[in-house]
Amino acid sequence: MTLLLSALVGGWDSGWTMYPPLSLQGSVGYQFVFWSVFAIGLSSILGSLNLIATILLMRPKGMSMFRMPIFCWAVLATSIIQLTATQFIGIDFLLLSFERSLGMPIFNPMMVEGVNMGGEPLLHQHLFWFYSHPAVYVFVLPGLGIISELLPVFSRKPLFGYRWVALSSIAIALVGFLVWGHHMFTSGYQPYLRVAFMISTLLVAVPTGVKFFSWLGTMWGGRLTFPTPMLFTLGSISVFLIGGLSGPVLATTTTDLFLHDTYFVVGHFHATIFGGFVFPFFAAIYFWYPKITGRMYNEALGKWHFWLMTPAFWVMSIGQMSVGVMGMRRHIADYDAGLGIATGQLWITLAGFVIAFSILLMIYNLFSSAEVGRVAGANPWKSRSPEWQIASPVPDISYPAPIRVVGEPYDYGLLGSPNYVAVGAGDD
Amino acid sequence: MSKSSSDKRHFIIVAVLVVVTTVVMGIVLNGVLELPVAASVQAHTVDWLFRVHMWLIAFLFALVSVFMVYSFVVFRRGKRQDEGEHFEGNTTLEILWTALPLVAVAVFAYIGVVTLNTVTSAPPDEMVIKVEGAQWLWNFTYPDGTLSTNELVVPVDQNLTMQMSSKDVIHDFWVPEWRVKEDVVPGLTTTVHYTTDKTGEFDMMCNQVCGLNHTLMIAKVKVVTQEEFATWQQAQLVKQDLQTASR
Repeated sequence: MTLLLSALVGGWDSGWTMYPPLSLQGSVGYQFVFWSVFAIGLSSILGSLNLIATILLMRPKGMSMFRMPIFCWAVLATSIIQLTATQFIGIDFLLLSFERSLGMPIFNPMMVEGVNMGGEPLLHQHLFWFYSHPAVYVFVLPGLGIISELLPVFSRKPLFGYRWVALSSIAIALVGFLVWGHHMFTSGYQPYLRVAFMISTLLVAVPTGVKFFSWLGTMWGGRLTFPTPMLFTLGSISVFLIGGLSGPVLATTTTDLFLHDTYFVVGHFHATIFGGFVFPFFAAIYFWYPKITGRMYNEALGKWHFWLMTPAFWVMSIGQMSVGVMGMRRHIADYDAGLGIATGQLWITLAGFVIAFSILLMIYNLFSSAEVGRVAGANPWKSRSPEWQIASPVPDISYPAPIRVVGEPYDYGLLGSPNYVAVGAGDD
Repeated sequence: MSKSSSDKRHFIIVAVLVVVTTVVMGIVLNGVLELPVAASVQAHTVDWLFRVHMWLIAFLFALVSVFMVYSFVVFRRGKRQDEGEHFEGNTTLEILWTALPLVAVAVFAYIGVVTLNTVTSAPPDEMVIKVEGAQWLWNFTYPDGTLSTNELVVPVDQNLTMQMSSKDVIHDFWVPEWRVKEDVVPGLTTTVHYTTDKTGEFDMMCNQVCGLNHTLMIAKVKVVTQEEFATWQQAQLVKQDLQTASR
């Protein structure tokens, strides 16, 4: 609400990155953005504390760390980031507020006879990206967790290399703290920092690669079925692949000096966020919809949603990258006709509308199926996870007695393997 | 093909498909992603590395997508009623696909450092041009005192150093045809080096959001022959003298 109100009092004209001195010139709208970030930031710090405490201290009997559903590992990694990084955006915006309202010279330089006696504009960029780069992983890690969670169910096979997948989430979270400077390759900071941040950024590829290869291992030799949640999971992988593969060329400073702040970056970022967050989010919605409502969504409409959205997204992504390479700058609403990118832009726009339309289909599907969908039953996906062992929708009291974890979460295809959870099997 | 998933034939087919897909993707990527004309020596280094990266992308894309699509076809459930084969992982494989990317990272970091040094180091006998960014125009000052606004005229085959400062907010100096860009930051002097190797007219665009007219903060860049440059400089100086005299 505060964020929306900002638009009424002048908004903010520096884009979301708030680079001073530009952000110091703007209207009071900036102040509204700062307040909303303080509120959201506080809530995400408290939320992450809650999740970390729950995961570490409140697991049921028998659920060791490596017997948790893999999504919990992703949430743990995400929460560690939120708990430790969010303060930096808070401090940064507080300092911007001080400079804007009290005139403290923190970011705005003041040149006296060729010497800077004032503030330091690059300080903001360091503080901002120290939060905002890990923040991207706050989006992406849970999404990758959903991919790892859903693939075994629809492949009827155990998750390949569970421990490696679990630890790769933690590794991505930790490396994520060391790479903020790649947003500043052209910022004018000390040149040696370019080398350090190039190497740390390239390292992100290693744990991300582990995830990709483990997903392939999970599908290999499986019995794959393709209902809507699985389609979106596979769509996630394909789109996240585009996002991931366009990373190294940006991480390598030499090529980034050309590509920095162009639409190539916009394409890379959209593919990463859609593949790592939006597609898995839709997969999760369709997957857990029967658990939440007790009814199945409309499968035909779900498939229409997928088959409209995914190719449209590929077109949009590759279009953005190609106009970026031709010289389209980011953060601007209009472009020079001389760049020869009008056709590319038209394709991107059309694809954008197709994506929007496909999401309308989903919204209609979700609302109408809640009334008329076929009754789903407790476990339509034959999943081993605990939430599917109880009725749909989930009853007020989930289990009549405390549960114990007695098996592995993804033991598909092993004859005679025990169930994942047992209800009330003693309390030793 | 109801053979076990560890059957060698699967891997031979996949390997062949990966090679074919890599070649096709590499050619397509390098064909579709058209770079602007390269008009500086630095641009050639950047372009070379860009093309190498496109081949890396082609290979990794082929590796992941071929395995994936092959699984869709061969390991779909179809009419089978049984569950998937039960295997939980393979430590050798995990170590392998952690170590090999690490090696690749080391190689690309090395190439990155060497090429970065090539495109950012100061060439000899450079002409130092002072660049000042302001909302929303560019001012250029040449070594002999020639001044110019929103028009940067430079000779071809010349080493250039831009010595950049900003009057107000952060701007960015970017000529796509010269590839390398650098921010123009108040309170700092930043530099960027070019060696022009092609005549022509290009746009120098501000590439760091700087307020209302950011999009239009474009200076004309004219790369001309040494003789044309001398003529232009003379004319500018005469104009400047007239202006000073009339004050």
